[in-house]
Amino acid sequence: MIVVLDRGATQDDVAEVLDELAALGLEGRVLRTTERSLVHVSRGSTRLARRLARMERVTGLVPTSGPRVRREGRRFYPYHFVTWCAVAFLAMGALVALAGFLPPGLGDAVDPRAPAPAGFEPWYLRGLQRAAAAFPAGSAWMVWPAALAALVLLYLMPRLERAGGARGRSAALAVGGALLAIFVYVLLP
Amino acid sequence: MRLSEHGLLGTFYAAMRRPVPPAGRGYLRFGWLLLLLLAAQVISGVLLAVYYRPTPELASKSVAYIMRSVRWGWLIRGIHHWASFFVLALAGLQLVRIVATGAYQGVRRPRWTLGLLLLLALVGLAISGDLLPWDADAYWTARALLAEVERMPWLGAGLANVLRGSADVGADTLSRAFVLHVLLLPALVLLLVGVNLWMLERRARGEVRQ
Amino acid sequence: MSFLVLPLDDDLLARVEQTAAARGLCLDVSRGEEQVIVCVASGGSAAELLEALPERGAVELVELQRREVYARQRARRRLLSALVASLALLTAVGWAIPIAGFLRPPPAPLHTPGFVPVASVQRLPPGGAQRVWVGERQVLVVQLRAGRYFALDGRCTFMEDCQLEWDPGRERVVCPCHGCVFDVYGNIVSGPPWAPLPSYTVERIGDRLYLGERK
Repeated sequence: MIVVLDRGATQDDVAEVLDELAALGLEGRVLRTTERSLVHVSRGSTRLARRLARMERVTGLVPTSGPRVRREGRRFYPYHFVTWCAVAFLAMGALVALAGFLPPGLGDAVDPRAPAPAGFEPWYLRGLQRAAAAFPAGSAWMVWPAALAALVLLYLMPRLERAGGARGRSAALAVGGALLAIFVYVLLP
Repeated sequence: MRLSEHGLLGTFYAAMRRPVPPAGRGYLRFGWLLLLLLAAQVISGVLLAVYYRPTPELASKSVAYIMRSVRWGWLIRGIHHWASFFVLALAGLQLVRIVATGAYQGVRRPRWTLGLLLLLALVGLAISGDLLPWDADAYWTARALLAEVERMPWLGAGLANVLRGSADVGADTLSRAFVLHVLLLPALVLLLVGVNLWMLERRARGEVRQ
Repeated sequence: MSFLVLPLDDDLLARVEQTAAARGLCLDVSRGEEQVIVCVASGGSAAELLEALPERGAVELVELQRREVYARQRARRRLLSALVASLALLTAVGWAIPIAGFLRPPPAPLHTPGFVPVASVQRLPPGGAQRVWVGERQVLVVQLRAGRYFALDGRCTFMEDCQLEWDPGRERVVCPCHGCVFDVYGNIVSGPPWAPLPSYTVERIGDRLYLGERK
């Protein structure tokens, strides 16, 4: 942050600025130019120096943290925190709206003698049954080793990509895409 | 930092004030949203457990009671139901994103394993949670699911027996689903999430070398 | 008024100073905690120097922001803080109210099989009646004479939406809506209803009355 004083600023004004900075716990260094007096806030949090913009003989401030912030990123609080709060607020609002307009139901009482009620088929059940049906009759049990194999494959993906060398990325994408396709197919109603 | 530089508060303050590296396409990162939804699940779940009774005679009745008689019961149960849907959906999307961008390499690999385990635990929570109302849907889902589990080679019969709790689907099945949903799996999820966050914090602080 | 901002890189600074010297620019350099500020004291402007650099690298140009801009920014920042704070408060209240309400015991307890305490004997004088909630049922508990208690369903069987009342003079349960009259056992005495009133077993244990199953 650079504090730029008016053209007619005197040494006293510069001293005042330096005193203000010292009071804030910051350090200032005077730059010599022919036109104006400049004070560079060389140490400390320049966020505090913002209040110097209110001083009478100060024309303005030059913010210099821009490049660093662009490089390193903004701090979590307050910037990303506010974004997160907004997202959280919207998410909770959506949940409340869904709870109000589309409440979860409750089925009939349990009766082992009655046949199974139609319509309610949770995705995991449907997925299992469809996957089992995809295998030839009699060997529906193979769905479990297949599922385990898919899981292990997923777990090993990082290692496989590493081992694949130059083509590792595209191979990983292919495998991932295939797994996703199978998953979606199995789950489709 | 003047406020507090030591201890847990200091860690929290440092974490909050740390610059976040600019990331491309940040809108695809669901991590924190998932955390919020999980918190909502835990809170609403604990509240629901105040009124829910895990016996076949009263399970369905207690859920109906929550929906009708308990103040704000419809809201708490509704949040618990819908948040579970979104937790699974977002976790799945997170998985797809990580695979698509290859963000499981190097220093991130332990968190990949953790993430997969977390996903399995979340699916387990969804399944056990669906059984708890013990209405006709839950009952028949339990039967169908156990029939599928029995198909598993070697382990199938034994595992199905342990999950079922007795010769036929009934009170013991509900009891075991309750223990899974309310005690075991949430503890596992909390542990996995905690370790995940700890690893993230260590990396952000620069304590982990690439 | 513009200046150059460089990261803390000595080589880069040396290059900048070389370029400036070559073009006859007089520089004033100030080293900060995180970056280096280069001010062109005379001979040209910072923009010229930037152009003249062989490679720009990490050097950036920063401009003066007048105090009015800062005043506006401050006002905007205050507004945003107030907005976020009120939103946070709203959220906290929005969470706290349903949770607190949820935890308050509901007016009607969940009906559990077995005997349920429903009334205390002190509150029920002979000839008096009390309306209690059991689960989602309304029950009318009546003491006929000393020691004789009866419990009947609190809703008229004719049309469900009518609450029954006890008439101590006639010792009858009456429905104010359609004039249905039942006795203490639930039998229809007169009026339009077609179904008798369900009654419950009631027992006195100590000072409390307990409701049992439907008869």
